[in-house]
Amino acid sequence: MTSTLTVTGLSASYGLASALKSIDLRVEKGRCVGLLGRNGAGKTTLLKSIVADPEITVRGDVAIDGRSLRKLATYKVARLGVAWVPDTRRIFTRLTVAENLDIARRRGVASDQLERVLEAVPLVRGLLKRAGYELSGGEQQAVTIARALMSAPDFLLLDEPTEGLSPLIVEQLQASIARLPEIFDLGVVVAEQNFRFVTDLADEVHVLETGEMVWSGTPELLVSDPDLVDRHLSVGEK
Amino acid sequence: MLGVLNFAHGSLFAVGALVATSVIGTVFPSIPVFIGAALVGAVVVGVLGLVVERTVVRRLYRGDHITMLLATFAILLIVEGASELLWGDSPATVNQPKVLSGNVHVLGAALPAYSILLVVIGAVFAVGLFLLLNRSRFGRDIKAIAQDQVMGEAVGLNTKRVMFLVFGLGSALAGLAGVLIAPTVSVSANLGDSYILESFAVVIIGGLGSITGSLISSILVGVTEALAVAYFPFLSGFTFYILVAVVLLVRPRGLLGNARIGAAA
Repeated sequence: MTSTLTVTGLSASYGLASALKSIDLRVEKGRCVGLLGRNGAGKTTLLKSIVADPEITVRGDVAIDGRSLRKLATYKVARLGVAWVPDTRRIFTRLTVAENLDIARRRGVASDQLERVLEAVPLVRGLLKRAGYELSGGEQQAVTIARALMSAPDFLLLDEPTEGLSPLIVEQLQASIARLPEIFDLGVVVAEQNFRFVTDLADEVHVLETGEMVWSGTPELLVSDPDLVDRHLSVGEK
Repeated sequence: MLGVLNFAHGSLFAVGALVATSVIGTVFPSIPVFIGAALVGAVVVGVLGLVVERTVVRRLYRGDHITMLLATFAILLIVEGASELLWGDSPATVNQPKVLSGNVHVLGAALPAYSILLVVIGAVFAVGLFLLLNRSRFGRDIKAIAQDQVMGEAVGLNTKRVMFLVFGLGSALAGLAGVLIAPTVSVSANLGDSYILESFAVVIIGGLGSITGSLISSILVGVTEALAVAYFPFLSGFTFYILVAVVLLVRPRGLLGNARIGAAA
């Protein structure tokens, strides 16, 4: 079933410090949306605002199929089908990998969800009995993505999934993420500084700069405009 | 587990003992009456704990430890004051069931049967808590939230509800402990004051957040104090503080305090 996550006129702040200004975003199930921007551009804040992180004060609206998420607690947003993979991974280190996955499984999710997730993120299959604190960075990243998928979400928010990972792991991760919209019929939002990772994966790209959305379009258009890339993304991100 | 330094725990413990004085009175209770008193104590104090969590503690989870410490100390004073109004300020006594008032001979030593029962009940609850934390979904949720509350919410856990229930459970156990200790002490509103410092010492030595650490620490502290009473009487009552000082100097996070979390990075 088609479903749409809509962000409308979203402004966000940490206390008195403004972090986002009037952001509009639309994510449909089955599609991948990329967010590019330098450090501090507001990518993480945008994802945290969508999942109703209590640290952030938000104005504007976030809705799924017209149902506002604005006044809901974070756990209710999660139960409505929004899964979040934070940039620092944050797996539960005192739990086993199997427990990390099971904890996110919502009521009513099909019993074969674990098998489907393990097929989509195969690296996790061999880790199920390991404790969270025993995992490497790449393994932790795979587990956090698998954990997010266990809730059978309609929308998956990935914050800097390639951060700190080796090129080989990034390549495997990219292949896994690319299949997710189709396999699980979900919308994916990837916030990244890795230009190539996003432009290879996304159906559409948005560029953020100091809390504002300064450009939106297809990845092909962005790749074909070096001036645009130079202007809004630092050299290392190309 | 919640990261709450709860000074009010001592006063909740005392309320459990005071409830026992009301339920049992001055008679020698039968076993069923004594069990009933224990259940009533646990329920009354558990509910009181839920009220404390809902009205005060919940607002302070995101604050610093000092604020929480001061707030729970204020609750301790309020509960002690209210207890004096309800039960008076004269110490009371509670009898244990007659069947448990004799001694049991173990390896030639005569030990009070009631003390042995307390040890057994303590062991049963320790095992029960261990199983709750490590073999149940509720325990899994508690451990996850204890580590990262925001991420717990983000995977769909109603963290406020879980913390509410954990605080209530902890309070109910304090109430139960108060009822069980009542026959061995003079019961008054400030009964918990002496126990709470010793309890903090046990938790600090065992390591914050570690049930196993607290279990090992409690045995260590108890045996050390008993040896001090027998062989170094002048140290009696100070061994807790000596052990805390030594552990903080040698291993500041306590015997088992969050070592695995530290290793995760």
